[in-house]
Amino acid sequence: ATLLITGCGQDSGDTADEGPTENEDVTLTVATSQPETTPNYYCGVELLKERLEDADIGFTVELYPASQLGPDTERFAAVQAGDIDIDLQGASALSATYEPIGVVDAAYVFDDVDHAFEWIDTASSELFEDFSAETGARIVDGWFFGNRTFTTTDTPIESPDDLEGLAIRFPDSPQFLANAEAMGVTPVTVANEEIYVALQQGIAEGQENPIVATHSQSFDEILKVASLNNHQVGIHWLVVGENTYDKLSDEQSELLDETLHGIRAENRECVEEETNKILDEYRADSSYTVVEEDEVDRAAFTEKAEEFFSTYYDGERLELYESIREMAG
Amino acid sequence: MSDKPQTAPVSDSPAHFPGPIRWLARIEIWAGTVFFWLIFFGVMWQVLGRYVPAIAWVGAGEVARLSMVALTFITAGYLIGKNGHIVIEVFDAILQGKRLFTVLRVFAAVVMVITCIALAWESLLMIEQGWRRVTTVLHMPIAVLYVFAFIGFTSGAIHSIAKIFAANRPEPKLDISEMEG
Amino acid sequence: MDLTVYLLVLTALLLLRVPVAFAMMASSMLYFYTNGNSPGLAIRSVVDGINSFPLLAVPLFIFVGTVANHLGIASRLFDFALATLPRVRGNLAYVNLGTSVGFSWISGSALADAAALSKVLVPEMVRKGYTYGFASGLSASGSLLSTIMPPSIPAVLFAATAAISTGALFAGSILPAILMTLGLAIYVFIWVRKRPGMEGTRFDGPAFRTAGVRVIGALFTPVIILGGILGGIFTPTEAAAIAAAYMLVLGAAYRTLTLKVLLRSAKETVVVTSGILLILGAANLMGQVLAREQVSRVLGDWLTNLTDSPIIFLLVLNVMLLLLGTFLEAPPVILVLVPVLMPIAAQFGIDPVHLGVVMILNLMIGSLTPPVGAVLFVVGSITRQPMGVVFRGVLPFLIPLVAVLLLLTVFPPIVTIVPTILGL
Ligand code: NA
Ligand code: NA
Repeated sequence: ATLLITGCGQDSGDTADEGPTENEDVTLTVATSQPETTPNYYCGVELLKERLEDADIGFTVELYPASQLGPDTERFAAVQAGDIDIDLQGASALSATYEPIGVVDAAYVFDDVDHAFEWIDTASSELFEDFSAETGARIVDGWFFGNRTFTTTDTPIESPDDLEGLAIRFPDSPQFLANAEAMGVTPVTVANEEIYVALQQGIAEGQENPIVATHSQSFDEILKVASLNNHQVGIHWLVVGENTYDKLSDEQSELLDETLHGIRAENRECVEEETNKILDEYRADSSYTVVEEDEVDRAAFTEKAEEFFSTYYDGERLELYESIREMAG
Repeated sequence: MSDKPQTAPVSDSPAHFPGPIRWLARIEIWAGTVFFWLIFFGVMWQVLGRYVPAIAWVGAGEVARLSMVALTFITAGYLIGKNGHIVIEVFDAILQGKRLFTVLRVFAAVVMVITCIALAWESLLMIEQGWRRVTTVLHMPIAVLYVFAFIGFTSGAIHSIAKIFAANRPEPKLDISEMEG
Repeated sequence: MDLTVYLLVLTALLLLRVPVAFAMMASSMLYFYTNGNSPGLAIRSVVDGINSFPLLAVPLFIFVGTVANHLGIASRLFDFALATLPRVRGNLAYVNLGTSVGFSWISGSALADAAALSKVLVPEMVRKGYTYGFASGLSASGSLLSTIMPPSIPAVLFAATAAISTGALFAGSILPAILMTLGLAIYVFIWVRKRPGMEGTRFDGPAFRTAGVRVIGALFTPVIILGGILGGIFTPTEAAAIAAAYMLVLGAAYRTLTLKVLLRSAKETVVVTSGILLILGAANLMGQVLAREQVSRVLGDWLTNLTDSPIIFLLVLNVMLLLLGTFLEAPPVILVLVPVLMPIAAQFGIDPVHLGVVMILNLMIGSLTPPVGAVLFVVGSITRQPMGVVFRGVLPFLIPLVAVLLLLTVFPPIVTIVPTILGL
């Protein structure tokens, strides 16, 4: 993480000029789509609030979970305008404003969380600087929120062939729909608000989400097969508006960045713990089936996805995609 | 359901509005009707596409949603002109015909002018900023939506200004069942 | 600007005749500007409030009601009910109620129902010796069935805002709608018992059969709507479009569908919906103010300190909503208050479907009361009577309606049993 801190340190060069020299009292508005029951709330933003306020250098942090301040794209617009200070955003939502960032949500672009974190720490600065120049918001780091996997009513997914003809709900953003295509799924488009009822009625026979999210939205009341194919490392990017840094002293900016970086590892542990807890409940319950990671033909999936994305992307996005794949272990 | 209250028709039709405003109103309501059909066909397309994969298109739902936003804004000014927005008329019965009632109507119209101008101004800001941000499926710049908002609220401001000067005349009520054309 | 000032400004603008949508937007914009937020936040929030897939059911179901009205479906239901009940004492009153029940399965909004009934039935009943107050009161209160019996626009709004299953809320509303019908029927029974000239006439077999055939198509609508939703063919939002398409097919079969009817229905739909949708957008903006002021937490703390009984909580809520309902219409209250109330209701262990049905019936009762009562407006304007006269007619009908509301509040299973049986 040191590299990234220096990266941000360069950015905050201008912050030092504009921001106050003393620590002034500042209230940070922190928003996320995640409800209070998910690890990114109780092992994420809640820790952030605790630590920033305990430091006693003028921070007050107000948390707005569960999309209280609007849907993802609207909240990001609010970050850009300075109405929200810190937000947790998926790359697909961000790609509505800055298209290239969508690539980090490509299916099987990262092998695992370690790969993703390594990329963030060593190779992301160029993309993030461009992002910040374009949007006026910084990506300080990314918190893990679970690997996206398929959960279906009764079909185990072990290889791409199992997906054929299966009606799986995908979010209707271009990157997610490309992921469906890359894995050979014909996606069902149902509005977010209607997923549960669509699953219940059989309009969709499955959906893809991290286990924690599948559980917190009660989709597992209907979906009984969890296949740990892990097609996407779910990351919530910590976006902070440049306007926010303008309100902070150097000491405050530094503490904010440090705290955001510092929570990353703890948060990941917490997410993995919660995921395993839910999976263990499934494993112990005869009405559930868990297709374990080693039962999934990951190589076949990765190969299929690579083949798709190498022609789907071009220019800047292809370059980014290939550079991430090259880092793969 | 809180639909628009239908009220007894008043013979005094809003004919005192100048020609261009009447034309604007006609265009607005027709555009609104076109957007309604887009809503209907968008949702039908989404259902049919699920069963006839050949015509399936993920953009259908988005067309319907965006049309609904456009419909709302493009007719906002029209409804102000026709007194079609819901108003709480607590003091109306007591004040009817009194001078204070005219004052009240002028006050409400002034608030409407200011609010509409503020909303039109915010829409204009979003039009300036919104060409980069695109909708998820159609990749249509978000700014397009705010063009409809800008038109609707500008038209609303014009209608509200006209109302300041008409505040001493009886207010024509929108009667849905006896709407013209 | 703090919350108190905000609410004062909002109330003042509402009372001073600023249209509801604009009073909500003006006060919220003032709040955001004075608190140093950026310009643009307000209009984006209004757009987000409207740009939601489940809301598509609003224009579509309003179109269904409007087009059904123009196609003469209400009069077919009326003819059928009349042919079915000729011998009953006070038959026209039951026919009125029966037509409401039939229409309630097709329409999701009370207004189309209230308009159709008061146009046809109120004059007819007055001619047959019923008082105007009784006839208009029955038509107005019976039209509420349209918003309780599925499909229902307030239910669609509640489910979307609370992120619960629309299917479950629809299913949970069926028994309450039947209870409302019973409650109204009991009042009708008492009213007609001792009045002269309410005797029935002879049953006419051929007329009954003719009316029956004419009504089959319309009675099939709920089968399509509910069957399609529960059978997994389409989602509740999509059901609205299917119902609209079905109405057009019926109109073609009845040969009452003309280009003029089509254009006119679309235009009426636009006028009615755009006003509602702008209020819903404004309600979303207002919701942002309440979220930033942490109203849900404050109100929740206050209520949990007050009581830990879910029933007392719901009774307090009922009083609050009945008061709000006299001033505001159901949709904005649902959009603003549901996000605030859901976490609190969860603390009290209240089933969201139960909360939904109680809240909707409560707010719909408000649409029968001045100063803002959409149903009163419609009945009054169509029958050319002042709102006050209609309201005096409605008053006695509030007794069975409030009784049903209390019953639902105190016995949650009335609401939850059907969704439970259907596995929703
Ligand atoms: Na209904
Ligand atoms: Na009322």
